[in-house]
Amino acid sequence: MINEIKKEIVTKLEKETIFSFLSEGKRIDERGPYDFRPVNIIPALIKKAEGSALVELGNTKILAGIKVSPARPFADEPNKGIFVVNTEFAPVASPIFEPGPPSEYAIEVARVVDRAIRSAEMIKLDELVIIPGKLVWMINIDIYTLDDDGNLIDASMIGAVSALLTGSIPKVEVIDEEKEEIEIIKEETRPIPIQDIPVTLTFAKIGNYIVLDPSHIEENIMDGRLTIAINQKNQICALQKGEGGGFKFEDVLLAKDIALRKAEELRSIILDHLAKKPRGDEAWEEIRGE
Amino acid sequence: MELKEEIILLTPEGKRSDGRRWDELRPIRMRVGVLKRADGSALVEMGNTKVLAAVYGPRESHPRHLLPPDRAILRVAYRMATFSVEERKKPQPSRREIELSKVIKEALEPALYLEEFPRTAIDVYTLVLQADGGTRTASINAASLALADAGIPMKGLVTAVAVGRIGDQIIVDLNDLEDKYGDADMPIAMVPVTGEITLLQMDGTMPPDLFEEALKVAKRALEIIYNEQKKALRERYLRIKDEVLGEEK
Amino acid sequence: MPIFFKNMDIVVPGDLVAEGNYKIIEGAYRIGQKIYSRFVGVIYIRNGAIKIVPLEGNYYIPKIGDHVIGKIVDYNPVSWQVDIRAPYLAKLDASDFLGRPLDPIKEDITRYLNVGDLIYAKIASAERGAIPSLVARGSNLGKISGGKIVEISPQKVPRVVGRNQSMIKLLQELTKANIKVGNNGLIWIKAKNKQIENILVRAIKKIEKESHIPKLTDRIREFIRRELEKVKGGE
Repeated sequence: MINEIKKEIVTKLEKETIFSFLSEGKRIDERGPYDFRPVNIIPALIKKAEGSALVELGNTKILAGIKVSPARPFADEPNKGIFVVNTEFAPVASPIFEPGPPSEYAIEVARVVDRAIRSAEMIKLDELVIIPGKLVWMINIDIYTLDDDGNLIDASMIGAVSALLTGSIPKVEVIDEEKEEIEIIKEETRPIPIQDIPVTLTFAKIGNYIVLDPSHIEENIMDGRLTIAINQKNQICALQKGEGGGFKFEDVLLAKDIALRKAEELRSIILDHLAKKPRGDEAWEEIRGE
Repeated sequence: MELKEEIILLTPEGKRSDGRRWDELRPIRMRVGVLKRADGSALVEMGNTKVLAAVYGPRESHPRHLLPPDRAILRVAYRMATFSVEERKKPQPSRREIELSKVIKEALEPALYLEEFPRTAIDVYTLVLQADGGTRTASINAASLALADAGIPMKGLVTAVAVGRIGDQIIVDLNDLEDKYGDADMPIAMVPVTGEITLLQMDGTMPPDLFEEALKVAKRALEIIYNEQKKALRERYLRIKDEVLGEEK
Repeated sequence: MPIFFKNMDIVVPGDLVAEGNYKIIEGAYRIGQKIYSRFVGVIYIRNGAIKIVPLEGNYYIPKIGDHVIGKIVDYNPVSWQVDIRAPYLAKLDASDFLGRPLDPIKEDITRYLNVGDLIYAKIASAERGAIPSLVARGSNLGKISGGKIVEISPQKVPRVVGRNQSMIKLLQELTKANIKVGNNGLIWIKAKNKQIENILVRAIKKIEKESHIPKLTDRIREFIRRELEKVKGGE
């Protein structure tokens, strides 16, 4: 069953206010049109996950978790590991989310994040082989939205990337290749092999204005959405237009320019957080506000 | 079940697998109002078990004619994150999650005044972020806080804990190992104000003479947890008060 | 008759607040001689009466005679459906807005009010479980344009109004703004310029946040005066 996410009704007054701010080059939360909301990342906080990250993008909160397990490789890629991205719009996050299978939008978010990571070849899949042709590591990236204040795509991407960058693969010993007997040694781990760090930048078109990182109120009145993924080589590695129209050719080019400018900034913020933030039990002290 | 190495649940000196004594609770941390969009929310940590609860309502639900004309309906969805457990849990709700959603709902209902909001729904969602035993009791503790945080009138909070046994020794607030390999696991919830028991389940076996002891132990543990809940609710306002009055000096 | 809290203490659901023949005004219930709180709230004790005012709650329970600010979310040929932050959508019949019946064949109801419009209305009927109905004509009721809307918890509205309207009068005096208060937690303000409106919005949010701390009126007066000074000085 496909359930549509209903848009909330925005009052004419709110629309007028948003446009009035935009005409002065600002948004209602005082941001500039191409400013991200404050980003906070708390990595490696879930003990039983092989990777995790709690991300706050303004008031939007998502929790990404990674589970790693042995699996059969795909027939057409017998010597490559597998990764799967799944998103859950948890009903805790919004008055319009209900328990149930992922909606079209939830699936779209997962697939955009997947595409960006896959096209950038972020994970070195050939270093995830256990028994060539028979057994490889499968990385499940599950992203839970906990609080929806807009721009779930970028928040989810930051979460997935952060969890991958701080995640690990356990050591594995092959006991019998024929019988596919292996022994997993959880206490010994290596980092997930990474060779690129893609980021996504999502724009909204509101009337004649283009803004970066839309809040949920902006999403409710936007005419269209455009997500651009940029890898570390500064190439565009994924694109997704969403929700109606709005973007003309020149808008796309403008968004591309801003995305290229902002990608490195966002990447620095991510790496900065991952380097400085405490992990494990200590990470929870920050969540508690201690 | 084959164990790789021997797990010692209880040493001869009475130390449990995580170093606790039989009557020691795990460290409890509770925080209210952690989500922006939910009407009420709470994050509860009991040791390594961490649960997030959110409440929406009272609110309309459709189709309207299916809602009772004289009271609100309480709907609870208890879910575990795929990465909250050792082996990835599939995102689709399991039978266990569905049963737990039901018993948690029945644990919370007696504390609410559902007749005050006819033809509406009060939705409670709990999400286990990290599981180490006692997820349903932590969920109930979190859900109670979230309901209070949503400004929904209550007779009182609902408090829950699991007690169990290892051999002849009653233990309180079971972790995952004790839940899996111990001799009994008995989650219990009550409304401390009225004394009503609103959840009672058991897994394993309990000799009758130890059963009464277990209930007594549970009652004492519930007192402690109840106080933590009340503290968490008050804390926010006391902190604002301190800030504001501090500014004036 | 023991009482276990002081005036203006914070209480939580299930707190035993008193024992004995106290009169319960609201927010508490009784089991025998014992009186318990139903909410997270502030307790007021005066002349043998107990009142507990909730500190939380985003929902509004409609009461006849209340003023509300509502958002038009839907319509049919002869009436609008209005979101008033209650667990039930309210109804506004075209005739209760226009003052005359509307012929749906000849006229389009959206000509007068459409989805996204805001109105200041009064609750005409409100039974629990039933759809509340509104009237929006007469005195200062009707469509709202311009200005700004502030959203607070409906439980805090009495503090914004104040005893004997003391707080709202203070706000109006100091800012000279036009203020329409909805009992449902939506407040409309219109002042001479945006800066004054912003100060007023922050003042109202401050009232919401600090409603449980004594001497609120003084602090708000101080706050507004200080902020108005800054604005005058700056620009």
